Amino acid sequence: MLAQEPVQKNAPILRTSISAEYGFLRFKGDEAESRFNASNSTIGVAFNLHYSYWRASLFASSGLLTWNEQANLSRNNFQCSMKQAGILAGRSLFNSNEGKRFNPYAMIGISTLRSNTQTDLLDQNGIAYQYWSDGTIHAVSEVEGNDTQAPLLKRDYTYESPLALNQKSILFPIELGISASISPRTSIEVCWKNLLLQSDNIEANTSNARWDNIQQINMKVTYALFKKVKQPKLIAPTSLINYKDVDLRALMNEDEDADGIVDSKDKCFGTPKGASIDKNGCMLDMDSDGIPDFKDKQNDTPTGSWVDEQGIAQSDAWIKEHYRDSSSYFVQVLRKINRNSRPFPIRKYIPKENYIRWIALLEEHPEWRTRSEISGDKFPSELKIIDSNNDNYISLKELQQATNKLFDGDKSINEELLNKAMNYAFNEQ
Amino acid sequence: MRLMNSKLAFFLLLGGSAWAQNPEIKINGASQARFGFSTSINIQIVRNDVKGPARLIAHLPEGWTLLNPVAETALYSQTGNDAKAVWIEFPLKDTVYCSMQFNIPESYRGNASIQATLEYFKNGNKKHVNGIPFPIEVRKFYSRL
Repeated sequence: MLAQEPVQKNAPILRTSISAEYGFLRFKGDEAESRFNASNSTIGVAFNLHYSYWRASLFASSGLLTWNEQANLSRNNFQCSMKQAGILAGRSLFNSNEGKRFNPYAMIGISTLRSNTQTDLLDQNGIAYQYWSDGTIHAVSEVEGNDTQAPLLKRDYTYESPLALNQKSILFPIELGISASISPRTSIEVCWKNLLLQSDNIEANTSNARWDNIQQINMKVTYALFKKVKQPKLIAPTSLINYKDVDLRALMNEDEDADGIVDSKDKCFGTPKGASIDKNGCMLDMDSDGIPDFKDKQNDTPTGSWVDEQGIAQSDAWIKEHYRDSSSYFVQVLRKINRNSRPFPIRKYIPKENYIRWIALLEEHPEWRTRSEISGDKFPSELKIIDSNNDNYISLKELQQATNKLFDGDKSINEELLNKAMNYAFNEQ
Repeated sequence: MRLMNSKLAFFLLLGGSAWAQNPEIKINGASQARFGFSTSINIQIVRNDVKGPARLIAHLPEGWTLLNPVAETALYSQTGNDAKAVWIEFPLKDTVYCSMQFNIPESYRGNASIQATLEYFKNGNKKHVNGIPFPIEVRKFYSRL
């Protein structure tokens, strides 16, 4: 019995990251109620810890909240600058080590808030705003019949008058978000935060004693401080493997195709049943016609003849009948290469238009050529004009050049010479 | 009337045989292509008695290059803006097809037109026949026509 390796479990890794966040605020107080918008924004940084499904965050942020009442006779307004620091802890849906692309999470925590709330009561010259019933602002209060003489004022939106300075509050933030991994170390998080204050300090209004509430929608970019180590995923074994009954000797002597030659010495696998073989386990072919003896119905085929699928020699007429398609000629020619260096029993049936293919094959396989080198005295002198590189060999490129010259009006080349060159390249080389 | 009919028949016969002796070229392919990518055309040559050596020249737009020529019965090459296919022996089929694939440069803008000319010999004299130019709309992306 071979002992199975104990299954290793993925050890949880403590990972650290830093994040930068930016978001929008929404405020709900006793009187004021604002929506998410660009003038109510927050910016912050955080240091995060991730351990298995758990996560914690130490954060600090700064925000600015502005509210302007728009009712005609009631023009309350304030601006509150806030600085917040705290800690959040919670759980994500997936293990942070699993490397899931999207990972939702929820956290709760505690934080402190330091706020300064001020209001805009005076214009840039220090004159107090007087709101009139028609929506205009004047330097004097609204008195009947005085409307044409009172100078108009404009809000300067400078919140100069303190309402509640240096106020400290305790908050209980709740955060729900989803983290999207964009690289092994970087992720983007979108979260919704609800900050329930234990005070009324933001708008400095305790009229109905409802605690202030701030909501945030934040976007964070988080960067892992250390590279994540990729752990191999281990699969638990379903059962133990028992080698006790395995006959290793039989395994060594296996003969898969049952031809009598063990696999370690067999050079031809997959020998059909009944085929006679040589000492290497390969099928015998006494007349070398490409058809193994056990299939061959004519074991003494004359050398150079073409055979059908049963190994019986066939005449040229038969071949012509069976290989009308010119591409089949080439298949057949290639099959015969092993028998003769360059057999052309059916050459006469190869159409002239296909000579180019055969010449291309000879260029790819120089060993199939009739002569490896053609001496200068045997090379036809009239073809020297086509043999541009004087190597006594007519190549495809030279034939191509000669054809182009013919059509370009070169008088040194004519149709007959070109035809002769092609025949020479096909038949003689 | 009978004489007129026989004359008409004679001229039709003569006209028909005269038509039959000239090869014809038709270019097919995609009507749209993308610059920076390749496109192909298929040239159909109705042989009509063409024998021996022949050359097909496809006149290409500026910068287009011939791709992947494979020696079958024709040999391909490019000289300047002319893609050439030469047959030392033109196939004895009624219709011969010749496929060419071209690369369109990234910088190419505007539409294109490919014209093909077949050159051949008849009784020792050089002849040629032109095909109808094939227009190709070259675009950044394909679009539904």
